[in-house]
Amino acid sequence: MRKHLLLENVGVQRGRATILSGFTASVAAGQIVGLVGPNGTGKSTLLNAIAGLVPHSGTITWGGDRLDIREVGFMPQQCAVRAELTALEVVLLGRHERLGWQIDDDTLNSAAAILQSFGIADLAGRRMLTLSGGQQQLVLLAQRLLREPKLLLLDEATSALDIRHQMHVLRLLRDYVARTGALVLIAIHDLNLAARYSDTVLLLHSGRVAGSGAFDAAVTPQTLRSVYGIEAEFLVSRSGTRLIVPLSSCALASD
Amino acid sequence: MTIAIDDIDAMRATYRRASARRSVCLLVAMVCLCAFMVLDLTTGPSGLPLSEVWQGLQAGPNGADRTIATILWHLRMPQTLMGVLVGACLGLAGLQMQTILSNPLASPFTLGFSAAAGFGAALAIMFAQLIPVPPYLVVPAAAFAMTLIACGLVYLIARLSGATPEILVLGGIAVLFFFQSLQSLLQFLASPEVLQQIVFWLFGSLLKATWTSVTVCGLILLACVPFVIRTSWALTTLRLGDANARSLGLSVEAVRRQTFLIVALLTAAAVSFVGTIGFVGLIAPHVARTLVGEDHRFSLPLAAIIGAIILVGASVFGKIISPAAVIPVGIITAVAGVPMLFAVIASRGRGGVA
Repeated sequence: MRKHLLLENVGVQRGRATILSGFTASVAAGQIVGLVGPNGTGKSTLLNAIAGLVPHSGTITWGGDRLDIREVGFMPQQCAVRAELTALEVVLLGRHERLGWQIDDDTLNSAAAILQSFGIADLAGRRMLTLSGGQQQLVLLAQRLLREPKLLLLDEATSALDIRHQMHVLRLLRDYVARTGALVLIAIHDLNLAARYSDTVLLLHSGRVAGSGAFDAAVTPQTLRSVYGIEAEFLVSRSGTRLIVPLSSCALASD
Repeated sequence: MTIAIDDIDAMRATYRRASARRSVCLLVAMVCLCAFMVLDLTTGPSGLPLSEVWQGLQAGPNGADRTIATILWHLRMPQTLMGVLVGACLGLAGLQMQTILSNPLASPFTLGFSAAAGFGAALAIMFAQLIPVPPYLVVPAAAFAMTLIACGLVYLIARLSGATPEILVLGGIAVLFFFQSLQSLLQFLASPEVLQQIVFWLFGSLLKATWTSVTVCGLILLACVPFVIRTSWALTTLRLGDANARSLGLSVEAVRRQTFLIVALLTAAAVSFVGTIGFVGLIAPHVARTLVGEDHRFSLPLAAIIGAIILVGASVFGKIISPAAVIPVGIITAVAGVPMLFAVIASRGRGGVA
């Protein structure tokens, strides 16, 4: 049986503000789950809580047990690196707990192979300071994959990437899930990418689940209106890809 | 697929080459340090040519030629070794400090450790008559204890609001001013003779070195080395920034607190016996990083060696320009440090690195 990530009554307070309250969801391993929702609905906070980086109430279990942080690969939203380490050195640090004084060939090969699969072998010897935001994001994603996490948490991990790299990375994540049976939770703003690459979505609104399940079931014209405050048209392209075209945005109560 | 495997091989080979180059860098620095040590042993008010130094070294401390044995084994050798140890302690402490505070301007002075040592020493010098222990023991002991108290104070401040780099720097500055004011107060209250002793202590000078101080300082450094080795990957990971390091499962606060304690120990070991020596802890890490990058497996030992080279070099220079009254190394490193710092800033600026 596949493992489940079970979130029961999860709540997070930041100062006096309640970011998440009574958040309950269950997601099975072996898939990509898109976390979608407007800004400030608690997507990042939820990922931070699962990664054990912010205190929370309620319980979070993985396969019935408490989540072992070593099984988690988390990539936070703001993680630009200002160091003179090379890209390959940074990827190697994905295994910093297990590195000895000498780095063996196997570890070096795995790190190099991941850079290769991301299509950035040419950056291996470049220092992080000289890389663009998008290139850094690719290197840091590669670093998280070297950890071979059972649970990969990505917060806007494709936000700085061009469209080709976004698709490439999401395809790599699909391969990774297929190969290892891991669970990938990815907070993502681009609904079209979420529709195309996630197996299920969790739609968040004001710190609660406003919709979950297959993309079509969770994201509908009605939920887009109530959650995002937009009118949108749902199209299917000739190649069969689903497209959401936003039409107007004036229905939010605060506007 | 052959192309892919070629790429992986190429990346591995490039990495291995870079590591080999860094190891050579360490080796060359070590040879330089040995050369400077020999040079330091051959210079001094009474002069000793290299051949006599060599004979004296072979004959040992109880050699037939008493003059050479005394000059070499009881006067110069402790000073040279102390220079190496103090330089290594300050270089190591400086790099660790810059890494945990992610601030290139940090040095063992930033957090007020040296000011605390100065106050401890001044206090001991002033009240030496009241304590039934010889001053050559009580002064370093007081300096050492006061450094650890300063460490505890900064730690307490950090405890109140989390050990972030900003809080540590602010706490350090507060502690620095606190101990500097107390030091000034003691200087104001002291009689002229005592004031002179205090001021002489504050000039960092290797002339204070004895075999006792060499042994104590060496033992402290040796005790810190296993910890430094164990945390080198954690420190390198910390260079990715707190958010990244934390999400990679590193307990950032714990690494920062432990390293902070080691920095206090190393600084205390360095300054308690020879007085305040500026700039070594600031420059050595910059030079090390410029030469071997930020992999702490290489930059930590290199910062230690560079620190030792700077201090022993300053000692040689001080003896050459003024053989009669040897200029304290503390003054030389401070003066020579300025152009070195400019050079480092200029070279890093050209490389596009802030």
